[in-house]
Amino acid sequence: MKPLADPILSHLLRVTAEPDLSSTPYRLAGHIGQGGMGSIWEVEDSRLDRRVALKVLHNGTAIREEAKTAATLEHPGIAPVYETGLLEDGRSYYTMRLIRGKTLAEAITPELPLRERLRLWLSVAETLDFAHSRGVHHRDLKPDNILVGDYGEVVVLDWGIAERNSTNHGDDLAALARLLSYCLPPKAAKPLRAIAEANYDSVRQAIKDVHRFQDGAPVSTYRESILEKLWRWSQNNQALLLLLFAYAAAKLFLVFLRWT
Amino acid sequence: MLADIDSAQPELRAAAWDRFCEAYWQPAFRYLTRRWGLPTDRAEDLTQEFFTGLLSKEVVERYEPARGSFHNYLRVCLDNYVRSRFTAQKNAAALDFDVADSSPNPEEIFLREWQREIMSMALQDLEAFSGERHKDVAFQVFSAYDLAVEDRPSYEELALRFGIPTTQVTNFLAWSRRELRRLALERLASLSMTEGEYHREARRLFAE
Repeated sequence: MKPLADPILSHLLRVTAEPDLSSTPYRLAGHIGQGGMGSIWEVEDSRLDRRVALKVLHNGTAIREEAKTAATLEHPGIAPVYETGLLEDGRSYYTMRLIRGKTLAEAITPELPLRERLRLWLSVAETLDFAHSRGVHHRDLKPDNILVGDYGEVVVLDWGIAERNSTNHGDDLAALARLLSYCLPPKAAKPLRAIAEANYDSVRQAIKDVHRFQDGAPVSTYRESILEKLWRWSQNNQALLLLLFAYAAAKLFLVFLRWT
Repeated sequence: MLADIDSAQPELRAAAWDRFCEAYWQPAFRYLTRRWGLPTDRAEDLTQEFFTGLLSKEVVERYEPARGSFHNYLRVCLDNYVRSRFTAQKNAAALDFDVADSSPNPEEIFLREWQREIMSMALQDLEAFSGERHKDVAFQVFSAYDLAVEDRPSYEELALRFGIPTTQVTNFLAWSRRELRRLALERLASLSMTEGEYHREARRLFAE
């Protein structure tokens, strides 16, 4: 038999990878991408006339576990699962909310302000903190698994290798620290760098430190010098400094008048 | 499962080895021509030598699933074999190392050839299966559409050509693709060492 020509091989691989939706109320609308544990497709739900995301994998057990994990986590930072099912070709699937946007890797551009960078990271951290409080450990946190929606919503995807009933969140904490380094601009303030390099016991502690930084308070993992303390104090008390400066200037002016 | 390759029963071992050679001979041969730029006759000889040598050295048994996919392990063995073979003969000049170094990702080349072989075998299986199930027309419709080298005919043209309703063309194509996928996975299962490896290779085959 003659070897299959490249265009035919590509076509065959594509059509056999496409989910066979003939027994479902869904119609294929396009390919979204590859998850850690399967492929994700955009489909049209004919019952409600809406587009949803459909994730499919030939390993049925794995995908049912993933759907179950995501379904137990009701949070704005996690795409809600609508339903699970079995395709005609034997593969299992689940559908979830379709979020249009870009990955965090695409969203972090050089001109993105620090405030927005920290907002994105804090959204991810809040989601992870919630998952940990429910005993779920994501284990595959990376910029490509985080979606920033067109309306600014931040969604953590790909719970395919997540672990349930887990109390060891070490991997997630390390990944979250790497993610903060990734989000920070090259010349980020030292306290923020210290937060990204610190070993926290929980996500909540890291979140608190970032909030402290945003509020102009000292962070727990960075020891400031006297000059840095003065600088931070001056940044937090600009109005008072301005008044003192105005008072000193007025005093000097009066002294000058008296002298002349 | 390919795990039978080190079975205590000679017939199981022989059957597993046949399956192994059937699935990997062509990818190895085409890989040698594409990556190493070897002429056809030289590549054939070297592929044959590689498989014979591989059997005697029981390299297959040394494969550790935890360290990566089997087809990639085999590719690394093949590269090592080619290098050692030419170095031993002191005629490395006969080998185009420049071609090898400038070729695209070797892993991608071997993966592509492996995909080509698995899909070719699954197509043969599909043709036989369609005949057994008296679905020859379904296979003909599938061949006319999915195996078309140039412009694909429309569903309406196929319906006219085979004297069937257009909806039947859709059904035949869906059935054939579903069965092709199943048969490719069956082939893959027979070539995998463990269930975990089978799932990983399935994802690589269909890029899922």
